[in-house]
Amino acid sequence: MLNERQWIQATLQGDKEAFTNIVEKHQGAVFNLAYRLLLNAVEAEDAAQESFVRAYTHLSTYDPAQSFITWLLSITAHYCIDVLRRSRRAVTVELDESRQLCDGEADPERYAVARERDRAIRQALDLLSPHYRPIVVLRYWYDMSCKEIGKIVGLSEGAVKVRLHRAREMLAQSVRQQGDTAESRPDEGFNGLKETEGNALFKS
Amino acid sequence: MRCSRAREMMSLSLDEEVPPEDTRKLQEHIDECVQCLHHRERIHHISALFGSAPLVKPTDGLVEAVMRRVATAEILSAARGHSTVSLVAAGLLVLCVLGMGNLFVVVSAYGFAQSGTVVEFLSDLIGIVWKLISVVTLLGGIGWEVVWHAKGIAVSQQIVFPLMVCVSLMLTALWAHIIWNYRGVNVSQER
Repeated sequence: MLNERQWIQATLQGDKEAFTNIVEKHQGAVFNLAYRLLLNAVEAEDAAQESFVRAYTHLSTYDPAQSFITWLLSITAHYCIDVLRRSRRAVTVELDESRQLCDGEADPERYAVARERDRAIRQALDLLSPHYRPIVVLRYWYDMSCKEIGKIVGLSEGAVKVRLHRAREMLAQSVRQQGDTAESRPDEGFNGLKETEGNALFKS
Repeated sequence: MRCSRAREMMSLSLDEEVPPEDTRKLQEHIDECVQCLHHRERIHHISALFGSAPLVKPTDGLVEAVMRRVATAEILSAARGHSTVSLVAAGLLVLCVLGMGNLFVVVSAYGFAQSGTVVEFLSDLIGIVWKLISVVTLLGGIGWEVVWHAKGIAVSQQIVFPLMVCVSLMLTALWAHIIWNYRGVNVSQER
């Protein structure tokens, strides 16, 4: 069984099967990043494919001293940021398969909760501009440090901290505003999720 | 502690360890400021929402789709490389063959020049250059076309071949026009 470093070497020598292993290993991380940034399942699939093709064609520029997944996610993030900047307003298209949202077998109740959570997350991320969204997604879904995020998006560690803080301010402000309206219409907005089946989501 | 500083520290404490002294000051501020207390609850709600969501799974067939695109990208890259090489090679070959063939014409023209007809010598040189350029562009275009066809690229996607044929025809026509006029002058001079 070859490891990732050997797959990369084999790919550089023309072994496509080795690259297939790389794609299989990282497809989840790349697709999730694209989906959370673009908020559109169809565009996310295209972005994931494009990211892997770019990684393949530029593999000779990869520095083995760097983490491969960081390099790969950097390609995906930059591609998605370009897409977001080109389109004025993201059109959100949700995932349509329960399997994509839930781990393992999804019973209808779990699927309903996961779907509601996904809707709330898309609504929250949609508030953030391309300056802030990648930073929030990399912090929460990939548990990256501010330094690692900085390497991916090309910012200093301090600038990442500032953007994270501002993004949280914006989101908290939105929660507050929606909290006011949720008193009269509790099912609307991502804050409204607190009042529904998915209230466990908000317990830390 | 000001509210703005307290909120910065709340955010920071979610990403890294804050010194105990700062944590104590932040807690003291929150105990006295109900707005900041609510703010902390909200950002914790957001963190819990994002933190509870697993990675979404990709659609079936993503790996196969990627490998198809990788194969297409390789073919396009190879076709571009081969086309350039074949174009240059074809050009050099034609230059060599025509250069050898036209050497005789140049020598003959030089003979005319020795007899005093400098204009005729220059005319022949110009003619040779036109011929070379037009033949190279024509053959280069054909070579390009053959390679791209072999790689399965649709003709409709190309503009190089028609463009090269047009350039070649234009140059040939111009060369014929110059030579025809020059002969006309010669004939009238002879008369």
